[in-house]
Amino acid sequence: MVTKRGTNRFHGTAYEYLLSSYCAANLWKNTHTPSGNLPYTPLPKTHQNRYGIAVGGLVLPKLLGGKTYFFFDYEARRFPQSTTLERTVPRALLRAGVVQLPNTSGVYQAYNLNPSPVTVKGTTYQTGRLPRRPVRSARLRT
Amino acid sequence: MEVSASAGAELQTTNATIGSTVSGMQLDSLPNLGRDANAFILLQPGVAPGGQVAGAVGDQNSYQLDGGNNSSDMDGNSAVYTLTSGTITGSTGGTPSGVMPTPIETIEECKVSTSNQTADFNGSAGGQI
Repeated sequence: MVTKRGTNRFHGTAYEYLLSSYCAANLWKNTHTPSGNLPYTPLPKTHQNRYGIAVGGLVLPKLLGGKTYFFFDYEARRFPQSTTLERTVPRALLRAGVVQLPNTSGVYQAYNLNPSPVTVKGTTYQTGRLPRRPVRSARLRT
Repeated sequence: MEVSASAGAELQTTNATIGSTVSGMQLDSLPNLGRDANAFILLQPGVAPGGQVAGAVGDQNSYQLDGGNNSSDMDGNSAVYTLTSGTITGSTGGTPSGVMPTPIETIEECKVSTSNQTADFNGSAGGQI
């Protein structure tokens, strides 16, 4: 591989190379399958910029006789090194300290374990206690 | 005045090296995910998408830049081939490459020899770039 050189004439380049999700298509499946409260799965945002300038030419032609050349290039790349991850996280109720357990008929009951009432999404939960003997098949709702 | 004529296609008979030179407009205008001249290794005859040249493993390639050694002493290559834009690795966008980045805007000419190397470029079992 041989790098570029400067020549008798000044010559330069400025360039930009963009790879962006704005100009990218989503998967067919993603545009048709509901996700959460959206009718489709959006494309994750990603942008990659690669840009630079290159200049080549003569170095002090009067002093050095026009036989010394230079070539310079600066290139930069800016990109988010990110990936999409999926994780199970607690619901807003559990984060607020309200535990939901099914009663004997399998209906989830909320128990506020805080010393004071909390309001989550417009509903206020009074301080409560977990039942002394939870149902055997009790499963915490996450 | 001197007139010379040659019959048919001219045949290069001085050596048996397989490979070709990529330069000028080709470097600028051929599609290139990582915008690095090393991407053109993959366009040569006998090269697999991972940079394996004529059956030799990818880290047996030799890279030269302006006559100096540019191969990685640690692993021979610095990247893996990536098919989707989601997992771009290394500075070259997943193309096997030497240590110094060689953006296409800085490269005048890139020669890749895949097999039957000449003695002056034969540095390893894989391709000579």
